[in-house]
Amino acid sequence: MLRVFEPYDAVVTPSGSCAAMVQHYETVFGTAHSLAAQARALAAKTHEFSAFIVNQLGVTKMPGRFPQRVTWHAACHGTRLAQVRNEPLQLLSSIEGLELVPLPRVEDCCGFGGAFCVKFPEISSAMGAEKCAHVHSTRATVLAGNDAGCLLHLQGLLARAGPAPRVLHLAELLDEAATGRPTC
Amino acid sequence: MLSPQGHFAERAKEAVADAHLRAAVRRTVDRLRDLRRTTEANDSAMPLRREKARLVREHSVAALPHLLEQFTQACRRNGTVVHRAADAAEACGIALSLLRTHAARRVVKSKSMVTEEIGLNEALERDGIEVTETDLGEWIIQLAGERPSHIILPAIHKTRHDVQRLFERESGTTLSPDTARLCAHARIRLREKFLQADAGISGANFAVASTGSIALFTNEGNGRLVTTLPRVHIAFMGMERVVADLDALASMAEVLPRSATGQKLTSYCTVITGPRGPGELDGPEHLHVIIVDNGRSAVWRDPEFRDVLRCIRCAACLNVCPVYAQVGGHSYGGTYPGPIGAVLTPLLRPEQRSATELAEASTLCAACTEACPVGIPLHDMLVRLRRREQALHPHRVQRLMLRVAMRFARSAKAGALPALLRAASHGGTAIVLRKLVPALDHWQRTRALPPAPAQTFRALWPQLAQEAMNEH
Amino acid sequence: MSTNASARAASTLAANSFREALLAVGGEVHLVHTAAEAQACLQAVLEEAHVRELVHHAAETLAPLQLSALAQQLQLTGPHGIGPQAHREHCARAGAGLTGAIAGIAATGTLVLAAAATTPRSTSLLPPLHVALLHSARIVPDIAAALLLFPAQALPSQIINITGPSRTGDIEHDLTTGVHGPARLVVILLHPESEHHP
Repeated sequence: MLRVFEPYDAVVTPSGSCAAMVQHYETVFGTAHSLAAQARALAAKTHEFSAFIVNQLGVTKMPGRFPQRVTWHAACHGTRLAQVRNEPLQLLSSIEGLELVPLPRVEDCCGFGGAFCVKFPEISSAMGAEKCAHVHSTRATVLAGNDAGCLLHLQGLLARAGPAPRVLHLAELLDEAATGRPTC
Repeated sequence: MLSPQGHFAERAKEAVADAHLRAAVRRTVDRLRDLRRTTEANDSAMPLRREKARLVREHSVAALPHLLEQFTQACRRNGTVVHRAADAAEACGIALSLLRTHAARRVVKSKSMVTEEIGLNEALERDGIEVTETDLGEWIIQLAGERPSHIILPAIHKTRHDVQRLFERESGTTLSPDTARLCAHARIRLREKFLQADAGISGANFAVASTGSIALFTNEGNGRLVTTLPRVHIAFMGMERVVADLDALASMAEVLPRSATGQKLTSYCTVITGPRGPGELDGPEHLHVIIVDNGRSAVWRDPEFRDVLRCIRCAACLNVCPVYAQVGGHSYGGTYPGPIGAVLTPLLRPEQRSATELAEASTLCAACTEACPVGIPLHDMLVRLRRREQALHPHRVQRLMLRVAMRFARSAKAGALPALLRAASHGGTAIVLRKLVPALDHWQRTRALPPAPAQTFRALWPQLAQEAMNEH
Repeated sequence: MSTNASARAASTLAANSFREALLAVGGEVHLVHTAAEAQACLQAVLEEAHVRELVHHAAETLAPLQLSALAQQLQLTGPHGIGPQAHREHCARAGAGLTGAIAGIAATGTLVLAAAATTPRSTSLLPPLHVALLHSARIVPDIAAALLLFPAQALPSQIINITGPSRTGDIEHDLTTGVHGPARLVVILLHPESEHHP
């Protein structure tokens, strides 16, 4: 990975979790490792998607319209490890017509957790069910997020349980707002 | 420490299926974390208090051998007798021989996690000593013959009706399930025990090296009674409890109650320095402190995990842990539940193989690390424990699967992913696949598979990259 | 502002902070300005609670209260001239315990007591009602300052910090007072009109 991304100025990840992982590469290798310097360099130029738009491109106003009630899933790794908290909310609230509704207990993990979700399916599903109940309580028509793993898990749970809000990645939502074309 | 029966996964599965338990745990953790957050939000000095507490604990742990020596010497000056116990058996043995020396047959106890850890009650009862837990929650648990399910609220899984039945059975009287009446009953019954007791056993939230003091934080006042009425007081402390001086203790007092229950200070905070003085009318004539190692030295010598000894047992990590909220304390199998238990139990009991599974039982959401007032990187430690476990006992199947997945992702065949996804979603192939891949089965029991895209991102990328170039 | 006036202002602030913090945790505070008011307040509190026996710390720690004035209405037991067993029995039976606080903590509404021959532990612990006298000039900002009041090399056998009544939430989080210690904590906070240090 260090080699693949070497020639680029910036690396953008769709999930805060991925950004956090790369940002912590140095500790994975150990500071004395021969690749430590390269790891540090990659960490410095790796950004989560919304953080890249807001902090690197300096763009905070998103084009288009999205006249829907949207709630935001703040993924744990994105917020706590990659420290991306306000950027996605800033982008969402800049979109015309979009009504952003807070998700109760937003800081609670949704229960995805990588291999955790299949190693401990009962616990993972129970955590997810609580999250879904909070999502339903907002009466949002769209659940948006910036972590593909969480969204996969929540979409799966919501879809299985019956009528549910659409689950969109922030990038999909921005695209839909800008182009007016539904992504899925 | 009681050895867990079976595995975390099995116990957790049962716990998740218990709606009453889950509701009780959820109510408890939500309440405690909301109390903590409200207090923290209204206190602009909180970040400073936490930072100071972190520094105090960091220093305490770094200087641990020195501070313990200093504590022991200070105790010698004030008349406290200090004992060191290498393990649970030795700690229980010291207590037993002290009780024999003082002809103590009836013991009252205030809440102490370390005595749970060493299985003290069982050891004393085997010797015919009557042990009464006097923290209301602990007494309820003792009467039920169970173990605590939360560090600071041990009986959260019991309803008032459960408590009514337990108290009725113990006293042979008929009681109302009204909380105030149940508490009044407990006051009378336990007051008798206090007045009859020959010895009091407590834990120690902290020990102060420079003065040879121990500090107890309680809300009910049972900690005071245990250290006031019986003629002998034996305090147990994990060897990491020590801080340098009274100022360091003050820093602890600023964060422990706030982090535990959102209180600025517990109803009672006592600093005990030696047995009763000349002319005093109450307080123990003899004060013994038993410093328990029980695996802690090994943790201290381990640079990857030494910081876990900073823990002040506030349970803030339990109250924010999404896994604990679903499975409750008993699932963890050890004395210490939640994130701190998942780290501490396998470290203190490396021989207990099933404890290593606890590190897996986390989504690594890091809520614990964020909540910890003394800056223990709990989620990082869970990763380190997983890595260590992999090095010691490589999970071959998992590794093989990862290798296959990596090869697949790198190969041109990755383009077939949407087709695979479609096959896994419907029809006969789906059933066969689910049988072959347990993970897929676990996924699909409660979750739908995502709709398959027409093309993979990798297949789209050349075209997308071209479009982007053209726009420039 | 004169030194006296600014000391007075500071102690008023401290007294208010102490009072608010203690009220917030279910303690009761009576602000009085003179010895006579303190005396009357104590009398009223004991009467209202139908206290027939009062255990108390040594009189010299309770100035300016005049305990002898109470002797006609109730049985008084102090720490002088009594053995440990009798002291314990009196405390276990008494309707109230009366103590004089060494200090108060403004930030938390905490009373600071210390065990000694004249100030036994049980007085503030066994009776269902604990009444404490606190001079506003003795209020310190926080627990660090409170602990500094004691010489580190000669600490009392027990420093007792009390913040509100005995409480538990162990049964269904239902907050209940008085499970082991006093169900009621009443502080008579003596804040003289003109500053003088007791």
